[in-house]
Amino acid sequence: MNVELQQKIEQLLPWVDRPARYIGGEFNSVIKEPAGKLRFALTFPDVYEIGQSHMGLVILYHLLNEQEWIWCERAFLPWVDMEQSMRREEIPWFSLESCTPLKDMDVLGFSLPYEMLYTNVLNGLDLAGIPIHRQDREEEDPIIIAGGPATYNPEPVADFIDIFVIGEAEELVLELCQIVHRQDLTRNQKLELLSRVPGLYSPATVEVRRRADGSIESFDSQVPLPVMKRIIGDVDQAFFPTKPLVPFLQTVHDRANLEVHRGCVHSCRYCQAGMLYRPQREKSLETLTRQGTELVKNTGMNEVGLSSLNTPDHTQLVPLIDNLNKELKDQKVSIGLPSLRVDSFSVGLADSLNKAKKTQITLAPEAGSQRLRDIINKNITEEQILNTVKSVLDAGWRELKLYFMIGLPGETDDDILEMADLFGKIKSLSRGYPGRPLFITTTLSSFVPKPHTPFQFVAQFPKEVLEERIRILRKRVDPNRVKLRWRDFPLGEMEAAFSLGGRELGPVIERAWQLGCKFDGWTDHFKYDLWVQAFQDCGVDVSGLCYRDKTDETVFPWEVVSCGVEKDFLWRDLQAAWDSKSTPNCFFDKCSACGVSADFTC
Amino acid sequence: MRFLAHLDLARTVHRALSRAEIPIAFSEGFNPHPRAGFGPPLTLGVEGLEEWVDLILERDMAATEFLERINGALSPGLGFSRAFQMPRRSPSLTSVIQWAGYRVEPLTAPAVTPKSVEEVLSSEKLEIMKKSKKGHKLVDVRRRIGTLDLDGTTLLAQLACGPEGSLGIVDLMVHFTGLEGPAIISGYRVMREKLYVAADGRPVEIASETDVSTV
Repeated sequence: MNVELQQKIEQLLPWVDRPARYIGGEFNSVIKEPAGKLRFALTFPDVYEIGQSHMGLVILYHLLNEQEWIWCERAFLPWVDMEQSMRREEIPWFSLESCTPLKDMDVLGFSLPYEMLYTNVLNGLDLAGIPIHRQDREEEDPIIIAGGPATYNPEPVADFIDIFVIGEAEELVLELCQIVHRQDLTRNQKLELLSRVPGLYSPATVEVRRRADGSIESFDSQVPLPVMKRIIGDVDQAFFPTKPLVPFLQTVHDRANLEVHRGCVHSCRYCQAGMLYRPQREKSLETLTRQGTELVKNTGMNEVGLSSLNTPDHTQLVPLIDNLNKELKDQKVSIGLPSLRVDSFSVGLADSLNKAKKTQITLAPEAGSQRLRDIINKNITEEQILNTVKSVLDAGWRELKLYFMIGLPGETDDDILEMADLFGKIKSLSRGYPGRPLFITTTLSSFVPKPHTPFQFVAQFPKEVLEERIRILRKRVDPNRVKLRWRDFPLGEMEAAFSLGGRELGPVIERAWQLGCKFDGWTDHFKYDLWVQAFQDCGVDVSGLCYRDKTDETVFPWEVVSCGVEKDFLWRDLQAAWDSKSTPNCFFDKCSACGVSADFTC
Repeated sequence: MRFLAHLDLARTVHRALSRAEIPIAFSEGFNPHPRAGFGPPLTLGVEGLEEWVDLILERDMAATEFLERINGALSPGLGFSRAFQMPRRSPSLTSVIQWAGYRVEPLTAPAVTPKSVEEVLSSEKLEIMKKSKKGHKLVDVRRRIGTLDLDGTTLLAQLACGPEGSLGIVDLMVHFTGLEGPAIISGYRVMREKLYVAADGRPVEIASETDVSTV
């Protein structure tokens, strides 16, 4: 423990919001004797409550600390009030367990679950006193690595990160640590060795060759490209922490999270996670029953969340819920399903799990018209939606939350009108039911084309078009019956830019950070005008990134890495979308030859 | 641990009870809560050296067993030091606790002077600004000061913290120093040493079941 720094930090805590963000000491947190150990800091570029509920971080924390020769600590980005105090008092970004300045660590591992954290990465490095550009780092600086879904397009932050971990870090992080821990190598020698480890991508080994118009021609690489992701083969036997750290603060997912499977068998064309985490890998009933029971006993939490991309797909879900109810009947524990499919089976399950409170139920039809649902491969009909709503009403719910996307590929004003019609059909369906009238809340998020999905080729609609569609929708919808909410469209534009862009965005991120952008994912901190200025200052054209269609000839910045799903398949699947052809569920139905089976066992 | 908010502390204790497999009773209804009643909340940043919790268990458990189990399920910095059984239907902690004893040691800020303590003790009235729902207002808190004493540079104070009005130690220190609340927390080591019930109008330490049950 760095007592001197700890005392300085404590002096700041009375002045900041939620000081417990900065104190550590949670149950099951890990303290070790540092001598001779590899010092690893899991750095999450957002506040404690968000980072600490991130399952990947919790798994890696305990996996690394299982190793006697590693001490893994955590650091979440201080909120703006704390950051200001720290900069004033010249206190560097520190680890929660031992108050060690992060500059003194061997490795900093950034989680990058979404793109709008990039300015926070720069801010964090700067607050730690570590050069933000990888080229400026010296022998004594820690090695900066990053992983998570956003790193499937590593290029926008390629100037700042030494090594990207592509895929599931559990599979390769120990290999990485062994190299970093070697005392006989210089920092550069370590980076050189790391660049040759399968699944690790070192941006220093790749030069991007561009044409005169700025588009990518090819990559000059010292290592074979693309860097293929690494994943856990046997998730059933894989490490899973059943004694996870128990936060003091209420985190955004304040429950014991049990991951039931990885991957998703549906092939929704907008969904990046569905492509990245292929193939689906299930944990067995025995393993899940044991892990769920141990989780509750070791954390004392009163809710188990059965998490995954689509939990109702788990083949043993009903017996699992039975088993957990049996094992935990004395513990007053509730079981939660974070995601529901739009079908009566899912609603029935949710009903059986929530006999008591019927507050609100969430369904995600994603698109209002059948034509659009076919384009995005949602594979549900209007009849199925209405039947699901019937089950919701039969079970007693009177508050329905619906998720839709706006600006989906191929969308027209007519599709928006059909969404309004769907609300009408749902409302009239509910008229015969007793009790309070049905209240519908609808959240519209703007569609963002994502790398490694069939829609990576498709332009985003300009935000002015989306705003107009919102006006059309609002004219058709009675605000007393359906509450409409939508996310900032300028934010959606930036998300698209950072999803689709390449290394040209490095200077833009840096400029935006210098102008004062941070916590861009927080609506009240997102400063669109500063971002526009940053793009202008750097001479990068946002509309070229977001608002232009691409072809199968286009070389995308993220082709340096691969999740196994092949570009040919994505292009084919996009043509299927335009023809309203369905791509089947690859577990219960047939394989669509996405390419994953060439590298991994489906 | 002094930077844990009251609700965070409560949730932490609930989870520890569950980990320790203490047979805590739950409230009735659709959304059962563990029947654990906490004393008056501690101001964020004030150390609690002797706080109290009412727990209703579903079956008898020896105090020693309880202490062994619960302390094995708490992280360093939090612990139960004593436990004893109360008669059924005892009044809740918040209804019987009337006074709190504080100890304030200067760290980086100047010590409270004997003269200012004298002044408070000899006056009939002490008006301080208190936050209320409708903004700030002046409240006379003189009668909410039980004892006030200096031991060298350390201030010792017994302040009211019951249902009939209370005075926070930080508010009193703000009066003495003119500093802002956070500056009190960072400039002094502020501890709540004891909670007292009132017997015949006088503060009495909670030491055993009789102290509380006879109130």
